[in-house]
Amino acid sequence: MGSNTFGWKQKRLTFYVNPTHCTIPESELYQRIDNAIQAWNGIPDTDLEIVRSTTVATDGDSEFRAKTATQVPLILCSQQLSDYGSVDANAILGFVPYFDENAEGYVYYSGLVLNAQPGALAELSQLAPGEVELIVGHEIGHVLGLGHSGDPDSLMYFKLNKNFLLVTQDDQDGISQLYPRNVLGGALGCASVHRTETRLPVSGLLAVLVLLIVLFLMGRFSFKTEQPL
Amino acid sequence: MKKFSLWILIFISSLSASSVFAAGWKLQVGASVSNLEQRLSAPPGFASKVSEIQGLLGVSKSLKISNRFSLRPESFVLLPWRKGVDGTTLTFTSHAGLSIDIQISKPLSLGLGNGLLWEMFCSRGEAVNLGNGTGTSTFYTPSRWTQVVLPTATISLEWKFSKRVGLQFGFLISDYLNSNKRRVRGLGKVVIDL
Repeated sequence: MGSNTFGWKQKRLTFYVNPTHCTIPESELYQRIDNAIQAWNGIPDTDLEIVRSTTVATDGDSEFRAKTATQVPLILCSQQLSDYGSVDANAILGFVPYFDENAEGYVYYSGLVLNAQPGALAELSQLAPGEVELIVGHEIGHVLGLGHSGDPDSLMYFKLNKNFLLVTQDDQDGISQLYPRNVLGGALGCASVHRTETRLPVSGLLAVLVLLIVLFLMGRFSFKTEQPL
Repeated sequence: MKKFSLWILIFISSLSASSVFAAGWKLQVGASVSNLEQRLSAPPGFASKVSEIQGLLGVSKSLKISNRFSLRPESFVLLPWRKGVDGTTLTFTSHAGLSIDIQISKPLSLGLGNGLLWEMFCSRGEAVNLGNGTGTSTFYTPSRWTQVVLPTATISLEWKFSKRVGLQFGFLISDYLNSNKRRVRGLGKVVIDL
C-alpha cells in the first residue's frame, strides 16, 4: 500500500526521441517536446533537470517493446497501438507502457508512446499544437513517476480538457515529492531524502550559516540581565 | 557532517527557545501570495491553480546597529497549511531569515535579507481512485514525508504608522541564482511590537 517509487536516480535525465512514424513534422515534434520539458524544468522545488538528446534515437518501437532499448527514457510514435496490448487508438492520445523499477525503488526503464495510428480518432496530427504539448507534458510526468490528479485543471488530469500546457500547484507538489531540492543536503529532519549528498553544497553551507546567525541573534539579544541596585 | 549539523541546530534551537518569552519581540500577521509572476501571466481562470494565497504568522526582532541600520532576524509559518487536491497530502511551509533594515525616513525603512524556505510534504500512501484512459485505476500518494529547502533573498518596505504598529510589504525570492527556477512570493504583514 502506498507509493514508494523514488523516480529516476539521476538528477539530470536525458530523454531520447525517435521521430520515425510520427505524423507531425519533426521540427514541430521537437518544439512541443522541448516546451513540455521546459515546463517541468521550471519547477522550483525540485532538483531534477530534464534534457532532450540532440541525436536521433536508434532504439525504436521493436526494441522498446522487447525491453532491449538502452536509450531510455524514450519518446516514440506508434502506428499500431495494439502492439502494446489492449490500447484503444480512438481514445488514447499517448501512454506510458512501461515503468520498471529496481529493488531500491528507482525507475530504470520507461518511455512514452504517442498515437500515430492511421485513421485513429486520437491520432497525433488531429491535435492542435497546444494539445500535443499538453499530451507530451502529461506523459513525461508519468515517466518521471507521477500518477494522475483529481484536479481537472492539473496537467496530470487523465483527460485532455484544454489546449495549452500549464503546470499547476498540484503538479508541482507531486514532482517536488519525488525529486525534492534540499540545499542543506538532507542534514535536517528525519524525513527520508533518497538522494544523499556526498558533500554539503556551497549554497547549503551559506544557508546553514544564515540560519545559525538568525537563531543565535534571536537567543543572544533576547536575554535581559537584572542590574544590581 | 549530517550528525554534526543536526546537533548544532538542536543546540542553537534550545538556546533561542529559552529566550522566546523575553521582551522586545515583534509579532507578524499577514498573508503570502506564491508564484507571483505565474499568477499574473496565467490564462484567465487559472491564477488560483498556479499560485496560492495563505495566511502568515511570524516573529521578528530589531537589533539596532547604528542610527540608520538594524539587523532583523525573523521567522514565519504559512497558515493554514496547504492541502493536496485529494485532501491526503499536507504541505507545511516556513521561512527563517536575516535582514538588514535601512531607515529611509522616520516611519519608513527598507529591508534586504537572506534566508531559507522550508517545505515539508506529508502523506501516508493513501489510495485514490481516479480516471485512467477509458476506465479508472487506483493511485497512491507517497508513503514517506519529503522536505524541500531553498535559499531565499528578501526585500521589504515597512511603514511604521504608530509607536507599536507597522505595515510591511515585500517580496521573497526563492532560488534567486537559478533563472529557470527563481520564484517570487509576495508578502504583506502587520508588524506589532509586543
